[in-house]
Amino acid sequence: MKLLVLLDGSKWSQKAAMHALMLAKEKGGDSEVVLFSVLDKAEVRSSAFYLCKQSNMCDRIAEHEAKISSDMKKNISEEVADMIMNMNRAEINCSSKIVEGERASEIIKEVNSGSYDLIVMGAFGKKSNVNIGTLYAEIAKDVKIPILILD
Amino acid sequence: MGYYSSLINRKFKDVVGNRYEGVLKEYREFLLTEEEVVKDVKSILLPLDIFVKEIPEELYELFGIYGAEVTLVYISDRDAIAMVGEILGEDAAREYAEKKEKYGHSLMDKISEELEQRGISAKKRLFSGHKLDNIEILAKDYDLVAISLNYGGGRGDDNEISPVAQRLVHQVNKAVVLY
Repeated sequence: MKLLVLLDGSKWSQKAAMHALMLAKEKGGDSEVVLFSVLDKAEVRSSAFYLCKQSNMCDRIAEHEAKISSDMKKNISEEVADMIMNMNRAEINCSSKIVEGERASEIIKEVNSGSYDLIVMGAFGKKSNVNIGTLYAEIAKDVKIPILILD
Repeated sequence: MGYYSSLINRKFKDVVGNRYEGVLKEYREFLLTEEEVVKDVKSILLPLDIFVKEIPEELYELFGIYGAEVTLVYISDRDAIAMVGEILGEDAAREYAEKKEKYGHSLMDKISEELEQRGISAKKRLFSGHKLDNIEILAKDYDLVAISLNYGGGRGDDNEISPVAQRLVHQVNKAVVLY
């Protein structure tokens, strides 16, 4: 069984990763977990814009953008590294991919290019009432495998 | 638990210094507690209707891993039955309800057979009601709800998830598997 775990740095996505670990462990055999994270350029840009608006330092927006991007990359890399360590400890075959681009389309591209059986993701949008129905709904229409959404 | 302690340490301890305990308390909503790490899935609710034709193999595999009991539920739309009654009369409504019931039983028999062939135990429930409201209420007694993108019907070209499925994903306060 090959599982694609969507990591976004939230509590809910960590929960999804731990759940995937449990599933892979239970299934045993040649189960495989891929930790997938998208560094969303649009999110970086909007954060930089917000920061520049708040701080009245719009002449340094490019600098803010680069800094935010590198911070986000660092955070997600550390998180992925922690989770890989956890998977290795449980002797789960695990790998990771961090890509840059538009979140939904990168996920769809990854799902359709690998022989995955299940997408595991957290229900952050649902629980926090932010971005309700965006990510899972955008993915669901273009993938053929089930999506497990953990609350 | 090493992962969580290291995550909390990494993200907060160095940054907030002596306010560490306070921040942990204030931002508890965003941190995983040990109790909520991996919840056992022992019971699964699987709503079926005329729009749900097949259960994908990956879903059976997932149910098998959990080793959970699956409850199949078929709800025939009470409003539709009432509408048939109003337009075509009581006999037509009764006939419509009977046909729906017959279809529901045959669909549940087929799916429960497929589940049992894979060693997954299944229970069946059939009644007339309101899909959205009833599933939301029933979901409270289950650990996981498996919802088809087609459940409840009404998928358009641009709307690839049925409105009922979409609302259920948001409204049931449980883990959901969307297929």
